[in-house]
Amino acid sequence: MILTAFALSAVTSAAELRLDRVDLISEDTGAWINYEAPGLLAYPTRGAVRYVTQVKPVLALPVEHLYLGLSIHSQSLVYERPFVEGSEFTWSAGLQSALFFPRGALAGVAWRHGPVRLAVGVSAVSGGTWARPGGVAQWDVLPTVGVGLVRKER
Amino acid sequence: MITLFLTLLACGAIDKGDPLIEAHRGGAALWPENSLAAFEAAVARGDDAVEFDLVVTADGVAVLSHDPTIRQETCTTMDGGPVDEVIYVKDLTLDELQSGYLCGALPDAETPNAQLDPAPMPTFAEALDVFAQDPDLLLHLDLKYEPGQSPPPEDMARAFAEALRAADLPNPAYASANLPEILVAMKAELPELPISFTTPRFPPGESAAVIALKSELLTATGVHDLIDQARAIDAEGLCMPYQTINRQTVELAAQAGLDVQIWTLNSERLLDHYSKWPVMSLITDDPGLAP
Repeated sequence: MILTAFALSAVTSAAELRLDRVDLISEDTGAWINYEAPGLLAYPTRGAVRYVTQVKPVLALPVEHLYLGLSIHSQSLVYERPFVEGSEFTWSAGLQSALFFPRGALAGVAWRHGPVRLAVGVSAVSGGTWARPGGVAQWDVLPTVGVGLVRKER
Repeated sequence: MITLFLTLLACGAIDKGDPLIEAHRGGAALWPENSLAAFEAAVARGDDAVEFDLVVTADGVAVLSHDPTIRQETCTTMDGGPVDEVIYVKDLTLDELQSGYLCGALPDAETPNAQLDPAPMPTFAEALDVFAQDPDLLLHLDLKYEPGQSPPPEDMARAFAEALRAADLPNPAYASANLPEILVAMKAELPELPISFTTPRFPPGESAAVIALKSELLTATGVHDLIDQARAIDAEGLCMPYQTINRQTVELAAQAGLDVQIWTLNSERLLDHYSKWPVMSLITDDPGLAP
């Protein structure tokens, strides 16, 4: 995952994108924090594997306040901006996908302080996938938490 | 936003379950797996449900065995000697099987505390006689079909159905298997018997870790869809190991009307954790560990 982040960093600098942060706990879907974290004591191996799949490098796109997050578990396109210009507190809203199959939305608030970004929010995610597009009729709404390491500005 | 977040947590956005507890292979931590002694103990304990494995002999009799072979780890010859070669149950008649081998004669490394009780491999009919003592006991038939190592699925399903029809028990029951062909054959024989698709499949000789990781990746990315696989064979359920099960799959399966069974939970911590999930049953070698 760290290598992926470095690779993305290299690619994005060439394409005028930049790595904004790496989410160690991703707000996308809310599956890991709600479903896997409570079972870590009962069966840590599976929780650890699923943890890795949700770690998410997030790129700042050339359009201001627009971010693209990419993990194995989900991908997200999120608009995030401060409540007041210059504030550490932000609000965000965006769309999420599974292997780029659109499957839901998320919204939340975050606090960016130095190298840390902490977030809480709500995720609405459908059961739709490329293998089962009809799953878009089934929805799950979950509270989410995000913990990210923000890339230091040069 | 924070209020909504706390409200969702407090209101239980995550459903709670109240699953049945199934004695895996009759309760393999206590007695030899798939033995009459294990089934009698399950009935005496008043277990919710009992899970057992079925194969078929050369003369078409359904018998209880986890493997298509005589299990070398737990069975011996009649004089107590080791079973040195790979012997398929499908190649022996019932008489050859029961007069030649004893199972439950050796300690099983997977369940070392189980009491030994050497006995011939029981028939499905003998097991059903025991289950008749408790008409509320849910019967979980695990159909062990392995291509090339078992009779054709249609022949196996016929043998299982004949035993069930002959016993004519009032007990609720369902069948599970990890290959669609045996479940489809069973459905054709007994349309009223619910079936559950066991996934992922762990073929003999292949790395369980690799299979589990592959399943994990395909499920995480949404390439692999278990619910549609179950629906494609008209299954009423999904039977999954806890190592690969996914809470979102369980929720979606429940919304799709599928029952979910989880195997094999052999600690109090695991049973306690999954007892809060919206699943039909939890399968364990020792039902006494359940909360």
